[in-house]
Amino acid sequence: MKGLRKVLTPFAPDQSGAVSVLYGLGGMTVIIDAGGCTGNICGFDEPRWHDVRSAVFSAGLRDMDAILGRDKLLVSKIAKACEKIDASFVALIGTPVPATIATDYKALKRMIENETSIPVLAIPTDGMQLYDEGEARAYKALFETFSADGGTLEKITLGKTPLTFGDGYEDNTLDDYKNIGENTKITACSASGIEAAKLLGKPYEIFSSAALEFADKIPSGKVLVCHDEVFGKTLRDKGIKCDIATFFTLHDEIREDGDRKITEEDEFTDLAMNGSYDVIVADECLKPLAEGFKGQWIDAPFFALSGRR
Amino acid sequence: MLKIAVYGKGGIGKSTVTSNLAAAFATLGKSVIQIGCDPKADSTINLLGGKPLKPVIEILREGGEPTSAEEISAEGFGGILCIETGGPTPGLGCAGRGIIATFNLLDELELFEKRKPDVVLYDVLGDVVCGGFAAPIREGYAEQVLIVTSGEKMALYAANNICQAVKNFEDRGYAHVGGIILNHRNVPGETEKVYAFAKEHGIDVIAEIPRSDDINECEDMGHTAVEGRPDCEASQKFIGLAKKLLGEG
Repeated sequence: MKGLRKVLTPFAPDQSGAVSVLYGLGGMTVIIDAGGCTGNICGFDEPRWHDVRSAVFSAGLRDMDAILGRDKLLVSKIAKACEKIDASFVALIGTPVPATIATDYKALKRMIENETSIPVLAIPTDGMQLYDEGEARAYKALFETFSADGGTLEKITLGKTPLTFGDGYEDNTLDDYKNIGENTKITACSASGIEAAKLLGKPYEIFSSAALEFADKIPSGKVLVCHDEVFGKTLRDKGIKCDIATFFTLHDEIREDGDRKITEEDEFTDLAMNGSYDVIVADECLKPLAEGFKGQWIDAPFFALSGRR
Repeated sequence: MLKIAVYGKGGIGKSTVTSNLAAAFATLGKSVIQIGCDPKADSTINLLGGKPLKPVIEILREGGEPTSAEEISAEGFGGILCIETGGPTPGLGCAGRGIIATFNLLDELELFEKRKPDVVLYDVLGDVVCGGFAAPIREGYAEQVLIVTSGEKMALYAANNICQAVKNFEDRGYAHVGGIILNHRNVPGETEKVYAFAKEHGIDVIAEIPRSDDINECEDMGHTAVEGRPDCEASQKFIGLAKKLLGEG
């Protein structure tokens, strides 16, 4: 049945992706919610939460805040927090609540910047898209706020967050974003990385070092890779003939015949069972959807799908 | 690009004023977009020969996923691109949110970037009752608010609320009040009352529209007065106002 999940849990949403990009940059991240989205992000979607300190807060919206549109209260709370925390920026992360009451992020940004003189990144995620789209929005806000002409950064990797790479993530610094320049070598290592690289309007390579680790483990035969699109493309570029399936963005520049963007559990089942594949490379959380698959399953953990690092 | 939001009490003639103003801009050779921001979705009907336009929310309700402006709009008199946000079934859902959803869609379709209009007119429901109905005056949309009022007490009361709302939004970078359009109902002391109100709020009365059978008769035929009777007094007032707003009058 369309939209029915019998096996998989909901995937990491866009607000989790946005927080993931910003987590290690030394800013203050304020999730505009009542608390539940923040709990989900910090408790499930952000593996660094227990190991690496970062100023991530919930706006703590209450019923009357929504009814009365008390933006000024939020601004004063953030300004107060800024007095105690040395934040290099304030990030406002949207969730379904502000999306529903049509919160004006541009106005909030202006009001907070006037009050604190700290740059504000307003990211209008709404909890209804997937994490890679939220990551891309966060990159966009970072570029718009911090990147300027004349940067001398040698290289930067975009899209290497824990949501795609688990413990193999790689953080950039805020200075990296400030110093992206004409000659910076850009590597897009996931779907959000490609989207971010496009925003910069410069040449970029598409490559995932994490995928390479799997290259030697894959036997010959017909192969299905169900992971992030760049994971699949990197294996393909390494000479492994495979079809790519992804629950997340599949860009035209990667898509080849046989590749598929999938949304439903049933679509994966159909592919796995009727696609004549000898090998499936995917997070083992998908295994129950391919009961009876006779080929070889190579486990490739995907945090945004399963929460496995 | 001239970006104007028209506000005023329900029933005061906002859609009539907006449509005639749009037609006046078009008559002056300008490329115009009119966006009706009212669940009733009747803002543009007199630019379209009396034919109602399917509102955006209706298209979305039916599961449509528009990929171009053509799918959610129609061209009316003088090439004016007409769009109606529409809204939910009365008594259900959230009409303000419907306006935001439509605006988000217009952004996604890059309507303004692609069409590059000279003038955008937002015709907004009654009062600024919630965030959604303030959306047309948010940063990036209208830059000035025109308030339509008569000399009737409740119309001036609504006009005062709109002025107050705009003042409250000063620190948000929203639109400013660009002027009052006095839409005559011929109530006693009307002109004096409206000018006194305008003076009190430091706003100019930028046009006076006479009570006119020409407007009503043209609307009965599905036209604006500017289209149907361009030489009548009311039409000339609208054309004069359009010139003034363009800095030509």
